[in-house]
Amino acid sequence: MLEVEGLVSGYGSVTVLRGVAMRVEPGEIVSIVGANGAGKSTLLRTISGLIRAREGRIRFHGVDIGGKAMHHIVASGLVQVPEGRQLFPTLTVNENLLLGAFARAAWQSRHALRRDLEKQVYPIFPILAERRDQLAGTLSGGQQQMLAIGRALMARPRMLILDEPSLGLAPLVVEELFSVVQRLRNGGMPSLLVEQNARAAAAFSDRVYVLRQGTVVAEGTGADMLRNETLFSEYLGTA
Amino acid sequence: MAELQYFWQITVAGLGTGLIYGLIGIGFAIVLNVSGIINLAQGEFSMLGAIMTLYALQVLGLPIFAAIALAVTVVTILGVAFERLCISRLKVFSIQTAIFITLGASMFARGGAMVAWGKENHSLPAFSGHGAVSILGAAVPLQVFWILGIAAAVIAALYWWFNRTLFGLAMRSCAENRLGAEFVGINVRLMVTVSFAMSAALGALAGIVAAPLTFVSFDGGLILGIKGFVAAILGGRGSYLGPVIGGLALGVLESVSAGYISSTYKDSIAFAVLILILTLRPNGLFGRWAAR
Ligand SMILES: Nc1ncnc2c1ncn2[C@@H]1O[C@H](COP(=O)(O)OP(=O)(O)O)[C@@H](O)[C@H]1O
Ligand SMILES: [Mg+2]
Repeated sequence: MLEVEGLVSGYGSVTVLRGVAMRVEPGEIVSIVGANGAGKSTLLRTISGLIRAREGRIRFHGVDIGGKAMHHIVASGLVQVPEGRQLFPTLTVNENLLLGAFARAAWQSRHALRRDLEKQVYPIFPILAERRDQLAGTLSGGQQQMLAIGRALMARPRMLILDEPSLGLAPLVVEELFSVVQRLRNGGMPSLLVEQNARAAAAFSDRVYVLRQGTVVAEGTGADMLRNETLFSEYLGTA
Repeated sequence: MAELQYFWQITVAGLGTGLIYGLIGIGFAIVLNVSGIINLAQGEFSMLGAIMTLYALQVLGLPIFAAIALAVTVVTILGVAFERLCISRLKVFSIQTAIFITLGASMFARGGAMVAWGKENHSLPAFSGHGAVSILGAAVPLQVFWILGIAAAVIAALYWWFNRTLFGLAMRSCAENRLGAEFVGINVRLMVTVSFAMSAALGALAGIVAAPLTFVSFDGGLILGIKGFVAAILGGRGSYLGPVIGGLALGVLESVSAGYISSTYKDSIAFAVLILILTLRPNGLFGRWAAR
């Protein structure tokens, strides 16, 4: 579904990723874990086309998307919920959600898109329906993360990328978000996500990659990772 | 009574020019909001619009409304070409570099217009004759009604665009969070181009509809651009209504000061207002300048 090979990428003269290979198969939730600064966000930004890879290949559904503009990649169904959510704080909840559909429906009437909202987003996050006319900036952290995911869903993604969706959220909210990601996977939409809590990631993902200083140093199923105590202590430095 | 009459007449005149400043200010605000660029060539769109209308009228012999349509189209194309060729090609984009490029473009446009059209002042005929209508005793030139109608149509169209279409909403989202817009799959560069097209069309229209009240010259865009900029700052950059209100305020202020003190200082008023606003109320009269 998504295949990355020999990816080299970075910022200006700084090389961050030094030959990353990874893949996501249909029906999988794949996590990338690693210490701060390991290059996790850089990997996701390169896959999404925000940063251009210097070397390597990125294929999505068999199509080479390396070097394509971000709006093309979103339109092809690979949609990212970015680090820090990147919402539009002075637009309403509904306006934020509608904008999620821009890449596929720039000229559709807002009325038609509202129907999509009711079918695709409100059933998953009923709180967003309640807050639909509120400004996005006034939502709580958990609600903002739901809005960010809802906005991505409005693009009708074939695969979702999430960069630290649980950052700064209460455990109960995190649990709810994870269960949404799992339900989406069961409905046929795989996810690639970055998690700072490696244990939680391992527990709920099908496969895990450990990234360290821009290279993949370990890979395994979530269950493998949970069993392998040394991996956590060695590569993540966290218990 | 005659005192009041005089004041009323002056105010009405100020409102007419104020609307023009407002239209030019909207052009500034749209580009600034979407791209962060202060387009110092904004006034040049107005000058080019007026000169091209004259050209189409006198040289091509087109009827007035065909001439206007042609001029607005050509200026819009020039605005898009300018953005595509000069701004979006910057290797390393920075707002400062882009602003300097617009300064260069404004000088280039003035120079080109002078070479092509000469240094003389020309006049554009009023759209429906040089008559005037008396409103409560103030003589209002018919052209002012054209200005009023066009301003109203522009505001209504922009309201629809920015509040009722997803494309307009996407332009607002670029102003709000450029990175967020990219993640959503909005082609931000395209939005910047569209913003230049809109502001070029608006600027040209403003210059054309204003021309019959003054005159057309190669350097007329400079001062109009400054007035429009002040209108945008005065109104706060949030919307399209802000610059119009800012423009009306500036127009009346200028007109009143010219009527009661001296017209010598008319153009300095705009600068004084600009400095006062930037020091005392940097968010504009209605605040929102820094709201992002
Ligand atoms: N915009 C940027 N410009 C330059 N260097 C950056 C930028 N963003 C991140 N980096 C650097 O790239 C490295 C990897 O960052 P990142 O991918 O954000 O790590 P992670 O998401 O794993 O915490 C870090 O050393 C960071 O300092
Ligand atoms: Mg990160």
